[in-house]
Amino acid sequence: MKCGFEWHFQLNTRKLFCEDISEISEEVVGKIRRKFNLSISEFDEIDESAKFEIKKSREVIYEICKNDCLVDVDEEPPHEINKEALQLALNIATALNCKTFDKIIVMRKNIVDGSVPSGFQRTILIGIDGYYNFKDKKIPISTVCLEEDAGRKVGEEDGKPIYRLDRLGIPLVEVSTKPIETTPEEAKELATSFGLFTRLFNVRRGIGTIRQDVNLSTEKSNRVEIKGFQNLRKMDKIINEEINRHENLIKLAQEKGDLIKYLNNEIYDITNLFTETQSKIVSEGIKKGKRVYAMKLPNFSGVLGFKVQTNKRFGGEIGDYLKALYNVSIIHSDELPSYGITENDKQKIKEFLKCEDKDAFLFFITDSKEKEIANAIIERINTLLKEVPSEVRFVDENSETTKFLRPIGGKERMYIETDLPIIEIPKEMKETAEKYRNLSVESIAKKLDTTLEKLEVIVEEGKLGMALDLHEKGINTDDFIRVFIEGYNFVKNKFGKEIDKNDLIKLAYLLKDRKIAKEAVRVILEKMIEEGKSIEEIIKEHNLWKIEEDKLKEIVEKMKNLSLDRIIMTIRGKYGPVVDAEDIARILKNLNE
Amino acid sequence: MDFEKGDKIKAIGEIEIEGFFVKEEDNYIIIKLSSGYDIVLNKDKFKFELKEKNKEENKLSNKENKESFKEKRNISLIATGGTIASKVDYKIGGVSPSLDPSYYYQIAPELKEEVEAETFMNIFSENLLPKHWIEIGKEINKKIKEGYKGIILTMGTDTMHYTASALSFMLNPLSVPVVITGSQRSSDRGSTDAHQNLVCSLNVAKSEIGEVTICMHGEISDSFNLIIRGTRARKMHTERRDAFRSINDKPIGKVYPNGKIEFINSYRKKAEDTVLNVNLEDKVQLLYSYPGFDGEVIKYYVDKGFKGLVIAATGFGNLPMEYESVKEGLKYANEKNVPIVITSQTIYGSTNPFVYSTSREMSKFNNIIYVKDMLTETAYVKLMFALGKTKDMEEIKEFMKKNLVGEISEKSEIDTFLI
Repeated sequence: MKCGFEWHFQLNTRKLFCEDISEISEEVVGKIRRKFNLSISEFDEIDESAKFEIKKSREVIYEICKNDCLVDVDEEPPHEINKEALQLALNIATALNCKTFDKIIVMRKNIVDGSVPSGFQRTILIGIDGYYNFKDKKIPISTVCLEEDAGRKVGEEDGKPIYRLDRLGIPLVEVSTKPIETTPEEAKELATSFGLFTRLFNVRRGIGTIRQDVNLSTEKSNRVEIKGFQNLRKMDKIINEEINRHENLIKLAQEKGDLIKYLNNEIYDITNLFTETQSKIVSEGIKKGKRVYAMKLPNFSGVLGFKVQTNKRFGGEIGDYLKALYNVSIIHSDELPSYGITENDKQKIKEFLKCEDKDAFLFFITDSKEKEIANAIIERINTLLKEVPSEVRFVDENSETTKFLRPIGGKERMYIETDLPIIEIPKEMKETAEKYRNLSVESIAKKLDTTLEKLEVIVEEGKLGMALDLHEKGINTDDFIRVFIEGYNFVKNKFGKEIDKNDLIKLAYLLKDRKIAKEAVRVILEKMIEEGKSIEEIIKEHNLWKIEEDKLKEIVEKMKNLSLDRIIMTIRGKYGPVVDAEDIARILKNLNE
Repeated sequence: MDFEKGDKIKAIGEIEIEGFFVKEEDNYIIIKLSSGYDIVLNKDKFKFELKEKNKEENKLSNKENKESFKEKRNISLIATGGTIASKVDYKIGGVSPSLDPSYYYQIAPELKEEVEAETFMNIFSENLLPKHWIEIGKEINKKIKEGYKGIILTMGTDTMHYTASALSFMLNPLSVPVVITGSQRSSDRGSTDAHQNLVCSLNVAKSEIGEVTICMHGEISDSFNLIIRGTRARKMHTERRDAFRSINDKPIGKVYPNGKIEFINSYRKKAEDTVLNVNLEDKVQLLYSYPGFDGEVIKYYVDKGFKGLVIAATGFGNLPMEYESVKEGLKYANEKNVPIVITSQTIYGSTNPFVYSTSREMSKFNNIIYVKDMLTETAYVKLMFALGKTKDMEEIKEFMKKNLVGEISEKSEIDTFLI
């Protein structure tokens, strides 16, 4: 399979075009309602995906939080671009070996799903044609962009989406790769590796701060965009399922594609067949004034029930599409009896529609647009029985499948942000970015003289900057981890206190100069908190200086016939954590030679 | 280099890039990549080749223009420019007015059946002159005589309230609704307020309201619009879509996109006929007084030949009478028989010439005219009409103080502050 990746990760700075802080909030301070309309872009063309969104309900509700301002609710033009975010984006683009530009243009990307009050997301192309070092490969990077994050959906009211605007405007870097030949397992590895790479920079951390999309195509199918892999754990499984979906759809098209000729868009109002129904879905719909409409699908028996994925049937593919377009579900004959609809009900419907055993039917419940919905169903079946449609889908982690989201947007979606001038990148910014050229997880690990696993630990703790800094001053990474991560966390967990940075540095130097043993670090820190004294006082009063080389030789010589472990235990038991195992091992080795 | 918008071109330099030509400026060219992004390429660092000429497919303006309506539509939309007419323009790199009247049907298809749109002029409202108000007034009058039952006037928002006042005095009495609207957010974006503003304005244009009104968003949600009397409207915020508020008077009502109108205040119903009065004297100036105000400017304007002045004074309508320059200025204007209308820069509230001794002192001058709670901008416009009508100071005073079209309140309502 061929896979292209798109990573979106939030930067840990203020919002991109205003001074609000970037945070996720549970405190809503206001609400407004907006309606969206068709919009016309640069080349006087209406965007396919925008036309699609017009079919859906166009009213949106926005929840306003403390970190929102007039810019966020589209009542003020954008402020000057956040320079810190711009520098970060440049650094990342340069680390990925991209070509960058002297002048950049802020674009508007039409977003009509309502997640942005202005109807567009501001986005800037920062770099193109770079590469990312992964294992022994160079993964080609097509673009690095800097853009605003959108509002996040928090619910619905009467079919109208509710978006919270706390997230709106948070700077997002988007990195896209070119499609590469790969496997689902490798895809997951690459995603994990890239995730670590991003944390080398000042990015926001936590759930939702990094989103992954995958563009997938197989030998026989076109590109499908899959959005929203948040949990990498299941990525390989979901990609495998997606490949199965493509293969199964193609198989189904080959076997049953000619059945399209029997399709027609006639609908039958079968509401009266359900007056006594036990089915909650149907009865509640009817109570709300909706009607039940059925369609006969001649010769389609078994087709709708055909499994395209472990947890998805062909009928589900149609259902997802309708849900996205009209917020309506379908129920089909292959899955009945179910949902409270009995075998009896099923037979009644079959009779009404004059269905034979080889025929299938489906029905939906709605109060409007029934003809449009019927046409959409026929259109969707037609499409799916010809080929795997190129479209945008989202990940449903529970079912481990993907679902239809919207058509793929084209070039018409973007036009110049007219409220901002072209931005010139100052020389100093370019020079700063140059320092990051070809930076990778491997190169940092090399710089720190450590393994990827240990680097990951440091990055996870958010202490990379400090580690690099101290490494230049001679503190090796293992000692750094021992003091700044293990020691620090030990005190935090046990006493709920944070050791002062300067004390940690002192300890690190003592380790470096071999004045204290590794085992002593934890003891010293513990006693510091318990007794409220300084490092020097603790070491002195508890005799925690490392045993000097000559004395140690004497001691070991007396025990040279014992096992190494025995010697270590004995010395530590008698003198305390004042000796390193490797010193004893070394002395013992010399004695035995 | 002679490229046209949409031509496919290739740029060759340290890298090779293909894209669509957008525009050329100074020493760089902007091209649009297939991803949709525009990039800036330095002409010194790249060579450019044409790959393919632009094919004119799927252009919206070509498509939707074809229909012609057989039946005469009842409402006339007169477009004069402004943000509402704006399309993205690459020559300037900003927004500028579209000349095509069918653009309004693109923004609000609901208008197509009932509204006949025409582009009458194309000016950003900050550049309008009194003579433009006259041209617009004459065009509106013409449309009314042609049988249109309602008028929608679209324009820029910056000076919309000035135009609204001018038309209020110019078309009095008025036999059809004249609704003025525009947009704060450019109409090229999905979130534009233009759509609701046009739909609501259509509803007002079909109502019984025989006044010139402004119809813009009532709040920052897309919920309802306000119908504001033309002489009581003021733009109160640089950018919010609900920037227009009714000052010192409740709005006539709230209008919803679905057609519903909730009346909040009284209004004049449509008259039998419209009478057009375009006699105005445009040599009037507007001044602001403040600590440090140099009253010599009054003498300057009088000497320059201006026929009337409006001063937005402080508080109740107080001028710094202890400044010699101000005393001298007022004296001079009085001697030259130039009327000075006093309003308040507080915007809200009514002026009062009696409470303070300074204003009583001012009132000793025969040419000083207090106009209660009339808005400064409205007073500026009305003075032009007063001067167009008469040269006699007493007649001018009477004209200015009389409530003609709802611009002055008899009673100071309690709940009209910051609404």
